[in-house]
Amino acid sequence: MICAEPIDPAALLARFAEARGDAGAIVSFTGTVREKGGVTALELEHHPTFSAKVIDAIGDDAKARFDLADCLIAHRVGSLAPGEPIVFVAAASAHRRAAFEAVDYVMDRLKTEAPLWKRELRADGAEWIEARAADLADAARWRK
Amino acid sequence: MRVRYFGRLAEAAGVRSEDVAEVATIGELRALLAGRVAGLGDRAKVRALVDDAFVGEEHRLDGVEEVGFLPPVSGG
Repeated sequence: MICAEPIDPAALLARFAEARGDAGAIVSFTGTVREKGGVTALELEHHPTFSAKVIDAIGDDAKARFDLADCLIAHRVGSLAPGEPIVFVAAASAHRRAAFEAVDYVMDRLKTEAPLWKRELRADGAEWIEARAADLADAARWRK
Repeated sequence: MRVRYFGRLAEAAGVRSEDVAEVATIGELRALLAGRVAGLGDRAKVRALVDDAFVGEEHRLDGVEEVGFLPPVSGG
């Protein structure tokens, strides 16, 4: 899901664990806006319909590929301050390995496929951020 | 027809969306706008979206109400 308001990872995990506590294993990941010299805010733009569809499809692919009981993806958009949660992913499965791998897989695909556009704001201007070569290489691991 | 720009393309265009005269294909639309919107002509990087699906340069625009141009993404 796309979230225009701040994400509360603890609350999301608590709700997810309550619903899926019987699965056996739950792994979650929270990505936050990195503190970086001079960056005052990170702006995330999304597509009004396509972004949510792509994110949902990535979650569905993870569920099928890793035989998950459930998968939750919450991605923040709008203006974020350094330190704020930007993305939350949780996976529930019968055994831990699948849940760990599923979260890693979801993050790699979000980085390279989710239709979101990031811009770092600084006192002296703004800079667009694109997926790095390392992100593309990480995502390619899952296609082998 | 409505054209929507995302990310750095909206900045380059100076608007998030605009109405454009009817043209036959995505390729023609791109050619029409590329001179004015920096980066739009780079087919390898900027993809066209119609009805929430990526389409190629030959895609016909008959009856299409909106085309989105999406630059490289950066989620996560």
